[in-house]
Amino acid sequence: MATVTLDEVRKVFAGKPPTVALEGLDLQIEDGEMLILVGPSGCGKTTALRCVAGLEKPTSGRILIGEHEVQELPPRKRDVAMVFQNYALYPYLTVYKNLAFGLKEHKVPRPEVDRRVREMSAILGLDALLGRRPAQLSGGQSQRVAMGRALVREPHVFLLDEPLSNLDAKLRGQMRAEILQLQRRIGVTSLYVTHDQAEAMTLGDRIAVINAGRLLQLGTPEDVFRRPVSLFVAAFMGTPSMNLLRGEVAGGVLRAGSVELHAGGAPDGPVVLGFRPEALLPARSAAGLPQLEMTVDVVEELGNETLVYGEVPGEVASVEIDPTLPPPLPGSRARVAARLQGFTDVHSGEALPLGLRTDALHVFDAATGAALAVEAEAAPTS
Amino acid sequence: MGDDRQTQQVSAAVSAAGSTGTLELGGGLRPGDLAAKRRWAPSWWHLVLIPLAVVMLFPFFWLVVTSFQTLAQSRTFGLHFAFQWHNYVDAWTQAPFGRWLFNTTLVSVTVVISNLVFCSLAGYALARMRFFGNGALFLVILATLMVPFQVVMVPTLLIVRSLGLVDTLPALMAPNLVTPFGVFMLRQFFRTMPVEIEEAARIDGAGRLGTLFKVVMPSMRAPLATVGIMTLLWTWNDFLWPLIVIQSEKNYTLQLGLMSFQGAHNINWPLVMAATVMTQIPMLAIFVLAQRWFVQSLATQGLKG
Repeated sequence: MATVTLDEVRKVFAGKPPTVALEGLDLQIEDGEMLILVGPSGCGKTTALRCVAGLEKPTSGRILIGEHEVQELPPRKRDVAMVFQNYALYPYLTVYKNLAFGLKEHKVPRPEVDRRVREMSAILGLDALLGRRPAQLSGGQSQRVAMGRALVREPHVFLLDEPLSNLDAKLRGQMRAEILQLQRRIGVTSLYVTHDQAEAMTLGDRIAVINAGRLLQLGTPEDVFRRPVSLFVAAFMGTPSMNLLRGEVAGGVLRAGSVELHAGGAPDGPVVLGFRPEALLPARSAAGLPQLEMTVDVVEELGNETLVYGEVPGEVASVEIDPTLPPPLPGSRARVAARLQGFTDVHSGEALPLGLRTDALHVFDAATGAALAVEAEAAPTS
Repeated sequence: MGDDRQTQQVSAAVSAAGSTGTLELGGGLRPGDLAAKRRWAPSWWHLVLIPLAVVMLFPFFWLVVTSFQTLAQSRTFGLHFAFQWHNYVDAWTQAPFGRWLFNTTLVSVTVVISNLVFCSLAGYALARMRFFGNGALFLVILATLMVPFQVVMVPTLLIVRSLGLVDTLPALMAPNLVTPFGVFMLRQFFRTMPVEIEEAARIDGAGRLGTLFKVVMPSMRAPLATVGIMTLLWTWNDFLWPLIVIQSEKNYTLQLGLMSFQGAHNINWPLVMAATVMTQIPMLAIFVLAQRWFVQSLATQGLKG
């Protein structure tokens, strides 16, 4: 196994105008680590993966696998393996031959090929499918064959490009667990690209959030989720995404809509107050916390929890994650989401009093989007 | 009505099988029977297709019937059914038919193999490789498809003559070793193939040519068969170009050889027809054997193109 280092990797696709896919990306994937590359569509995450695989050549910068610079090497000389979004199985070959293809190309002796293929098929539960062709496999089976084909070569680096995105929700959950188990068992250095935050949170040893070809934050899933360094990361991670209200700090007091807080350490000026849906509690169990009243719009009962969407006083701060979506309309009300435990007796159109946990608040500079280190506590009611 | 009832029985059985996962067809009807019944069931299309089939097949029918007639029978109007096998023996022995068959086979097979190799390479390069002028080059190739052979016939003859190939078999092969049709068709098929399959092969250790020949080409059997069959048909049946470029009887192709059965004042039609049937048998056999690939490739192109 090996570490993988991306050093100031820049990739520009020719065109009029040229498209900058990666803008000086610096990243190090530790030996045996599963690093998740996450970001919105078109952010450059797949380009970064393809640069490591050798399918794209960086415009500038270095890529190292272990101690070796590989950016000039063709894919077959990098000792990497990749699982594609659409599996890319060889359609005319049986599962056995799909698994054996890479080994044969690397001139592995026939008995060794057979031993490794059978070992991998046993690990992945493909024994009964070895004689079938890809067209005769289900989505989950194809996915397993694609994984097997990549891992049977025992590569130094394992690359996965949104491998679960073509599966239904139930199978995705199941395969997620299988991938995690397999990666832990084999201990191969892995780079996994996804835009699914559940995959990022559950699979990754660390998560790298990128946007517009730049690395925004690199850290453990908990770091990225609980301590986002910027407005973009805060808004991108989490479903539903973080609630963001425009506010103002004056004399150490932060006012955002109807919320008023002591914000120790925050400089005066416009800010954005962020809180995740789970930071909102029913008012009856939130004594002493800042209060806000939501006019309920939509209630989603999910069994173990309820998502309540509605409007609160204030102006929502928009972060452009998907440029195809329209920005929120400016106004005196902001749409927020609350995640409440169990079933709730809340209905559309009702006023729902909520408390805001001050230990789960985030404050961002409104101009730069950078997170501000703020000690927030409820302001005494006047 | 009977068919409808049986179809309903099958539908009911399929619905009922949903929970158990087993399917039992009522009325002693098996799935194969149903498909056969559908195929033979009358359709309005048959009113168009049957007359069309008759129109298409009748000349061939006339050809075969005439090939078995006596010379006297062939000179009177109407279909006379006879069984004059000797016409075939005469056609084979009165002319160097074996030599012409060899020439035609050699030229056709060489042209087909050459087309499959070079059109694949050119089509792959045009479909997958990024290089300056790729689009323009493809347009030029496409444009040559629209130029009739008669327009380029004389320049081609001049080139062949300058190469010293006139009245040789290579003269029949050289202008057709790569055809724009083959390049165009294979390029279109290469473009329908997911590029990730090739990328997977490159990561698995295959080089550019290895990827093409081990991964891409085996998936292209249908389009390759189409290009192969079409090229074979054109080359086998080509008459004009051999007529221009070949003079010696020993270098004749079958189509050119058929002409020698026609005298200036007298034509032995049964002999000509027997020779014609013999020239067409190999093509018919190959077409029948390969039609599955041919139809499949056209269907695939229709779906994805």
